[in-house]
Amino acid sequence: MATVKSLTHGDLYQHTDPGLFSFQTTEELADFSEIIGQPRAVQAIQFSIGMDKDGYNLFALGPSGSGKRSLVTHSFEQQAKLEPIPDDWCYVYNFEQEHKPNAIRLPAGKGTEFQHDMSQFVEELRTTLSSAFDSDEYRARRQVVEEEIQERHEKALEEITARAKDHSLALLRTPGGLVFAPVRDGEVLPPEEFQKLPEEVRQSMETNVAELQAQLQKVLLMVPAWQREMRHRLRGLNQEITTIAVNGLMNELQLKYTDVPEVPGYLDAVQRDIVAHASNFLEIDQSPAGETESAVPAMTDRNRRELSPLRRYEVNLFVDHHASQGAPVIYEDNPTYQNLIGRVEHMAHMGALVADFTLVRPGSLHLANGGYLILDARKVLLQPYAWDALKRSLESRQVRLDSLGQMLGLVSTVSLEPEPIPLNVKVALLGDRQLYYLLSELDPEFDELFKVQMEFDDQMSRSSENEELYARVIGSLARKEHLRPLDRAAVARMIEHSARLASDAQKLSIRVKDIIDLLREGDYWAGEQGNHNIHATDLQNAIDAQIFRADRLRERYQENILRETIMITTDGSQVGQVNGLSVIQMGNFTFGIPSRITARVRRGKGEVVNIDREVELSGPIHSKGVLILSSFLGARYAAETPLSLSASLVFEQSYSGVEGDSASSAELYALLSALAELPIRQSLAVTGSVNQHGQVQAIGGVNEKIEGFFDICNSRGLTGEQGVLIPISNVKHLMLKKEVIDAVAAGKFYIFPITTIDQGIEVLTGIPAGEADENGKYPENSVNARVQARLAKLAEKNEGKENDEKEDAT
Amino acid sequence: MSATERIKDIQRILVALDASPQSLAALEVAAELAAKYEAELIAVFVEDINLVRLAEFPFAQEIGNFSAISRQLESQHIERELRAHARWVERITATIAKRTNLRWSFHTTRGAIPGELLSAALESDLIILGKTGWSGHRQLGSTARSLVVQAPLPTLFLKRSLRSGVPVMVAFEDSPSGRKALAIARLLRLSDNPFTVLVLATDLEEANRLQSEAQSMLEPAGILASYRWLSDMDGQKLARLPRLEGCEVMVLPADSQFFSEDILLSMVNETDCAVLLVR
Repeated sequence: MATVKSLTHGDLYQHTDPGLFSFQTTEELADFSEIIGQPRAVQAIQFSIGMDKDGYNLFALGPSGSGKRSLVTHSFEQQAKLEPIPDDWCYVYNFEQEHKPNAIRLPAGKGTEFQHDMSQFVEELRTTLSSAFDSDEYRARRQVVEEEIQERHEKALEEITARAKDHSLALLRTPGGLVFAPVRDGEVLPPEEFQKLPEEVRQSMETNVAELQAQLQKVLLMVPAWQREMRHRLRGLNQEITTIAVNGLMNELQLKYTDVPEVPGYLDAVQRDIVAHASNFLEIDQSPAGETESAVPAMTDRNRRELSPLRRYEVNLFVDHHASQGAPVIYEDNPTYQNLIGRVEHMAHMGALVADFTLVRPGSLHLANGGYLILDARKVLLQPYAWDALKRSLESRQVRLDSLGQMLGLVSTVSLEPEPIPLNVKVALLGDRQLYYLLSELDPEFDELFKVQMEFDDQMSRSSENEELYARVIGSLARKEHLRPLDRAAVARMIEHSARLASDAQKLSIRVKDIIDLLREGDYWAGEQGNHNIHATDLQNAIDAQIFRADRLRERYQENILRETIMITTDGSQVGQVNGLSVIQMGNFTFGIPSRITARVRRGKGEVVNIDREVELSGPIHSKGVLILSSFLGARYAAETPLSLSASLVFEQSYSGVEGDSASSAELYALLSALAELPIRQSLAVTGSVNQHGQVQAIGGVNEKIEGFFDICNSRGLTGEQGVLIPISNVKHLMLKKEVIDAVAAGKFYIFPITTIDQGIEVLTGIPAGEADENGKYPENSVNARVQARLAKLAEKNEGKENDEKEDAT
Repeated sequence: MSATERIKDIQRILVALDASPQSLAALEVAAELAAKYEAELIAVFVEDINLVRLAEFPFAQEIGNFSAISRQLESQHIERELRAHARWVERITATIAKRTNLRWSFHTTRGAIPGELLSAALESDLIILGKTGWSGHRQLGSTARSLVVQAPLPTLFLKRSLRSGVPVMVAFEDSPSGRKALAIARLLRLSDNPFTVLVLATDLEEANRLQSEAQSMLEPAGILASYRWLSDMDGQKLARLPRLEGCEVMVLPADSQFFSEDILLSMVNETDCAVLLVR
């Protein structure tokens, strides 16, 4: 077997040659208004927009920062411009059922007009009615009615008074009623003198009084009936006057709105109501007058207006499109239940909370009706009842405004049930993939309502055409963000960094957020340097600064290693000990560090103990890796004999748990070294997972891992011995930093692409692994032969021991 | 003391109360004027002796104004009713007086109402009372009627509260009470009210003379009045005038040579506006 050749510096980084670009700076590039690298998403949204059947709403899924919202918004807005402006909606008073305000649909822009006309109407109604009721005609007619009744009353009393006078009696008024008394010369006869009168005079007087009293009682009993009659006639008069006064105003409105379906009916109801309540307006118009008027504070005046009986003729302009162009596109950033489906406000009146139709407020579903609504799925789900309300509205194709308090039985004040408004809206939910799959799995209605899945990619392939395209995107973003243009070296650096962000030399990250952040920061550094354009160095400064801001922990780790608090050796050789590599992610920052992995073996029952797992510091994937390597061990070296081994593996000085199988090859090397009793070069570090056949498989974070080990070696001084073993399938992911590349070019650091465990162990021990012959025998002195021999020896001893035990038993 | 000097100052205002809405309006106006002139408000409630007497008749029965039920009248009951009324009115007076921070007093007397009022009014400068009592009818109450005829000092008959800024109309003639009427009208005038002087004169010459006399009285006080000459007058016509002119307070000399007592009575009776009779 040939010795593994280490990678050359050219393999470690895929450069973008600025010279191949056709521009000097991005200023020269045309804007790129399309979306880069998301053909799937673009097609999905176009399909959703074009599909007008129910349920073809959209769920845009992808990692945050992938530009979901801007793509959805942009596409919706482009389409919305071409669509008609939806109708206006108004809520008006329901004259039959006060608590169920009616919704009226008007053509766009007519709503404002209608509201204005009605408030004008109310304003004019005030003056028209007050002048009608102030007119001489009304006053005269009213007086006629009042006086007729009054006269009837007085005449009856006068008759009685006159009759009493004939009998020398007078009708006197007490605080509580009327009394007949004998009089002389306008004075009540003193009772003593009355006693002096002859018996028969007194007698006849008493009879007269009794008679008159009876008559008086009859008259007084008629009074309430007369007053009722008067009130009735006055009411009739008021209604007649009101009808005449209102007719003129109403006719104009009727003519104007004759072709809007629901308005004429509403206006008729208004007219009927005004006529029926004519007396209410009389009161309001009479009460404010008087000497106290100037002393009335403005507050009271406002209250009077708020509770005026005329308030019910106002129009609540609920959804107003008079200034809209095209269909609405609404992004609701706080999708609470109420913000989605609207709410009914309350106002305090006499210590109680009251609501009426003017206090109904629209939600974003109303505002987006006839257009597009964009929501963040996570936010909708986090808001109590919002998700249900959204689904209910989409399902029933109407927005019903139920008060949340009412729904839960928390509030028992009089509330409103506004008439539901028909809904025709296309909804786009934005969320991450996990959320989509969870909803799809757990909510049976979800798939019915959000039929269009809009998948966002986070990377695209790095072809030269795509690089050119990427340059245009960068240029457009910089222009949109009002940043300096990038020169072509900077664009190349940006593309290279993007590949690093994608963790793949052949891919480009299209997470717009990261790109924009880096552009902004690069622009800042360009400003600091006084550069006219953003140079590659500015971007490098920005990247370095980003790392520096985040790498406190990495520095602490490295310091601990260099001070040998964490024991990592980077020279010499050691049996059963290898440098593994792991990555740590802190927020958005990922870095690699070496870890010491050790293995010890002794005779046992064929188990490989993963110490980390024993104490539950090992994740399932790590444990799986260990089980795979023990299976590899058994199958390769002890296929015919029992594996009489007890091995233990541990990540030294790891206190916070291990996960992932990227260290399984390293663990296997440590184990093989321990079995073969061959020392491993400590100047090398290893990464890669292993399968049951001993093939080394790709792992993630290869760049960070290499750099993590390189940094330690570099700090201690490169010896020319050091290097890293990586799976060969990871070579295409390499986008290493410049120091590493330089060191490799100078022959001071090596990166070995490894295909199999045999290759790896050879690099690590300097001794060939050896290939089995047809009998399964390995060449002498090869690693494999030593391992096999050791295992056989352990098995033999084990057998012997078992036999001894058996003999003892007999 | 000349007539004009006599009313330079209004120091005591007497208001006759009987718990009717009109007398309460009278109370409001009285309190307002008292506050304006820093005068003392004297509220008088007269327990009508006639009512007290009534109870002594064996057949006396009270027919409820509203219920039309007849009840035996007892003197105790009547007295209690009257006392309750008096207390109620006193409370209202106290409330109003407190609001305007007045000097005030409340008196209850018993006797015939006009006589008691007149004797209580001896020390006052102005009497204010409602036109009708709590009967609420359009006919002038008996009390008002006797005061129209007998009151020796300016007496204001009201039907409702006065609004500020309302027009004032005054009848001016060549007599002491005519001058007094003009003087008191000038005094009572609230700022910037339209002010009309009805010049009562038999011929134009006299009318012009009286007008210039009135002008010389009013203009120094900053009052720009409009003037109308009336030569011949009856009660009906006079009563129509305030309505036509839209005035709220009418000031009339009581013992005018131009109109008799009857005209005065019908005037006070018929108009809706307040009438101030000046003697």
